[in-house]
Amino acid sequence: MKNNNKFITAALLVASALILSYIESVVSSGIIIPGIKLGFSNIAVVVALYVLNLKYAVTIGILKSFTSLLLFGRLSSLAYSLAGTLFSVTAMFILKKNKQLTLFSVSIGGSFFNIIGQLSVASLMLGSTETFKLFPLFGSLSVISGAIMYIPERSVLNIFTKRGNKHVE
Amino acid sequence: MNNAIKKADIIFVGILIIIILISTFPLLLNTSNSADMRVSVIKNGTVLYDIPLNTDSETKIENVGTLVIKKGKAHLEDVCCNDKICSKLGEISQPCQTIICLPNKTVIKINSTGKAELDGISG
Repeated sequence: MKNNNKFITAALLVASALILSYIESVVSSGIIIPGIKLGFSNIAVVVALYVLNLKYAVTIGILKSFTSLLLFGRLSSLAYSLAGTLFSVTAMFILKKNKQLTLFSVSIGGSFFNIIGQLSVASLMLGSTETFKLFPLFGSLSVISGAIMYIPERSVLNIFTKRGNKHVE
Repeated sequence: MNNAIKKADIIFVGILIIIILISTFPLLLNTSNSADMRVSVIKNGTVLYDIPLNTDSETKIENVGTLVIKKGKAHLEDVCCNDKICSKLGEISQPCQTIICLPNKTVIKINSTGKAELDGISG
């Protein structure tokens, strides 16, 4: 892919991540447990990781965190969002390097490490390790949400492969 | 791209699930720290006894019965009155749990001298 194409794809991915997180905030407001999200906007980061490269994926993740702050205006969530994104992008990059694993593991591992990042930031901010008592609950929910998000991620990546933009492993 | 989920994926997810399962064990085992908790027996507003919860003991309380402390849990035995409601209340082990005997105006309560655990944080 040419450089200009990459820029445009990255910009479109950031835009779609924002729309997805807006849709998510509407959908998940009716869910029983507060604070639980499926992580729709993670689709954009996964696509960036596969179609573009790690640099773009990290940039898209950081831009997504800052712009969703502008849209939804929750300053306290910025640290959680940033840490979660950075942890999950790093984990997904390492998992993707392993040729034995497919998108399924990448998706679940990404959402799992997202939770670990958020819990670490929470324990730093509150100055106690009590937050890790939530790990069993949030960890198991993250595996489930990662498995659910595998389905849309796979179909989006299939579209990219069919268009022949780039060979996606 | 290859759509099939490979065997390695299942192993990876299995490892994650095992990590989550292992992490639940310390929570199940170590739910309360009974080292700094004491059981007070209060009658008509005056404290009759103040017994540590972490050592096993039996205390006779006049007109009520026997307060048995075993493995960090307290309950009443050999209750004198006919209702026996206080012994039916069962074991108490957490701070602020109470056994109350109305006929004798007696309250058995667990106090925690240490730092109280947080109920919740919002922010």
